[in-house]
Amino acid sequence: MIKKDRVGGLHRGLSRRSFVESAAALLSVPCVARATAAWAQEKLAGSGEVVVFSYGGSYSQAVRKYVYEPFTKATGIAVVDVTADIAEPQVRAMTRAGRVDWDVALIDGQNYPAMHDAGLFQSIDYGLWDDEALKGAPQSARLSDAVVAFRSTTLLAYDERSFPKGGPQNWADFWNVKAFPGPRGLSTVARHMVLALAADGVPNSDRWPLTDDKVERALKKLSEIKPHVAKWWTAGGEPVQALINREFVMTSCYDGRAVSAIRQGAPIRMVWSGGNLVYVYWTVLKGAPNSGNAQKLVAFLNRAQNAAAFTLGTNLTGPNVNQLQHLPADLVPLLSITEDNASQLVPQDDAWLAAKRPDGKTNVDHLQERWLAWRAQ
Amino acid sequence: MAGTMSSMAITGRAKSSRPWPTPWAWLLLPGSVFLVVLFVVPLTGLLLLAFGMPNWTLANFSRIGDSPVYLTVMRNTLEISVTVTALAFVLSYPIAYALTTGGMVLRTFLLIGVVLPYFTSTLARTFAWIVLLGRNGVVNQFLLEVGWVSQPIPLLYNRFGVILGMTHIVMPMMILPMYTVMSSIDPKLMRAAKANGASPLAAFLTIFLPLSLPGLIAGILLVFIYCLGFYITPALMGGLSDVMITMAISSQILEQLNWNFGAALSVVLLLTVLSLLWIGSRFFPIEQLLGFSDGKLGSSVTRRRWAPKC
Repeated sequence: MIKKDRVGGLHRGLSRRSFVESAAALLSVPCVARATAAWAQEKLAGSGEVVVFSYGGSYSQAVRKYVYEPFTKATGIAVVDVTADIAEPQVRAMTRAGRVDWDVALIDGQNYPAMHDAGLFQSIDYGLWDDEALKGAPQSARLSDAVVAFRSTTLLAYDERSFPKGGPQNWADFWNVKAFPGPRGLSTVARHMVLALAADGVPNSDRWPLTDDKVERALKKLSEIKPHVAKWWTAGGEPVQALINREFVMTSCYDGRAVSAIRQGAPIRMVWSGGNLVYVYWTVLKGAPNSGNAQKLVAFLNRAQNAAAFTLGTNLTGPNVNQLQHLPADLVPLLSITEDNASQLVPQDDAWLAAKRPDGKTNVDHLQERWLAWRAQ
Repeated sequence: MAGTMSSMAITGRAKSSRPWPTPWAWLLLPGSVFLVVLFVVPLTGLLLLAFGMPNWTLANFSRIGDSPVYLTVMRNTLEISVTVTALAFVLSYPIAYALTTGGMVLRTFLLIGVVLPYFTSTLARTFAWIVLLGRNGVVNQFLLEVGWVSQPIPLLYNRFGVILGMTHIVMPMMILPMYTVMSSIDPKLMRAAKANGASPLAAFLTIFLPLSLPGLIAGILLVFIYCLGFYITPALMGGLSDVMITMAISSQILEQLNWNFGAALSVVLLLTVLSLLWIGSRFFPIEQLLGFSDGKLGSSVTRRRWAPKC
């Protein structure tokens, strides 16, 4: 549920502005497709199909139109998308049953280390990639058996109508209810407690690993703001909607959702400082029926123009920075990959989260239990 | 009268022990296959997972015992479920009674009122409450307009919101079994009681209420068990501390991918339900609801009351 929630509701409440924008974006798609088709044919062309996991809803509609259709046009490979809220449980179930039906799945960063150790993924064939894509996507985004599909940031978002003289600039301001009064929103995701550390003055570089003393410190800080939190949201669509409805004046929020709302004209501002950055990976499953085509799709997705189309359609941003040249100028500052925004974010330490503690539990298990105890009291 | 009732129950029992199988017993087959494939097999899988198959261990259960948090969550779950069941009962009994005794027009109106929301998705109903009860919702706007409050009052995102939302969703499940049983009660019995000098209240308490008990128990059990498994409404309408066991299970299965531990939590929930049923069966004739007895409605109640050892 949580993951699906990061992806925006592009088609909800279509305003005139968003209509014009979508129309403009639509018109640009064929050009992108045609431009790539000419030289893609020799490299990625193939036949048959590739089965790809999809979150459903507006994400599926957008990714079909902006990426899969151009891919099929360029390569002749049909894309079959299968929908679920999140992929990991099914990937695990298919592997256990010894019958893998999917080729490509999106895997959340916090689940990646354990699934990588279990050997569920094939190596990515970087030989199929263009030079431009290899240069544009940083080394850290290109793992041996996974590629960052998009970066999801949990950041501070506020309703600009509530703060005509200037809104909060960082997480310390979020806790400052005197200077910035009004009801707040925070999420029920345990890992998001790191945002309280940012408010408590822990420098970004000291955030991870989230040792027990830092967990206690974060929870103590959260207890301070608790009376001012109107709602602890669970679904990713909630915070944006609550800002628009004036249920919150500020909240934690996934960047994809905020970008989607802002592009539709919502009076929302994003504050990047101290945001929690999570990677979601494209993976090719071991035992996949069409793994050759899967490798081609992953290579195609990471070309700058296709990465730009993916961003334009889904409001989720892949790692290739060359895509910025292909995106509208007013959209670029809203994305987590610009140097200015990226430098303010703290990547979540997924390897540490997946590591085992002396008592046999993983760090994320401990975090989850500690969080549950705090919230249930 | 009690004597005839219990003898009826006994003859009912005797009749049901006729030779089996009948020529039509094969009709049981599709249903049994369905149950085995879709219920017994997954449930066994769940049990095996909880015990760490193939590396057998009790670690998952000891982890539940080690941390007080799961106890708190279970207590939350029970508190919310008991409150909702009680509230739903108090609100539903009069409605079921009115359905049984009221005229045609009232009955039609009430039945539509009860059944129609049942066809609406839980999610849609939950969102409707959010529209009504939100900070800028209809109710708060009205209260502010009239001047009864100066600040929007928090109706949502707390225990009150959860209980209200859940009660609304479970009420049809409470009303319908009660209505079914109540409408099978012979109205002549009430008239006879009154003719023999019982006050309306006494007639209700000694005749109607005991006879409606099976429906009442069926409703309470259905609703209570359903409440234990609630997920959407507490997540969307509840506050931070309104964590129910299902949320912990879902987080283990979907987010942590720790199926063994999630299965262990599910087993704990299952055992809680079963033990509650067992305790309940000591005091109420639950076996009738579960179909172990095919006595006439109300008869086993009477039997229990008058001849508990039979």
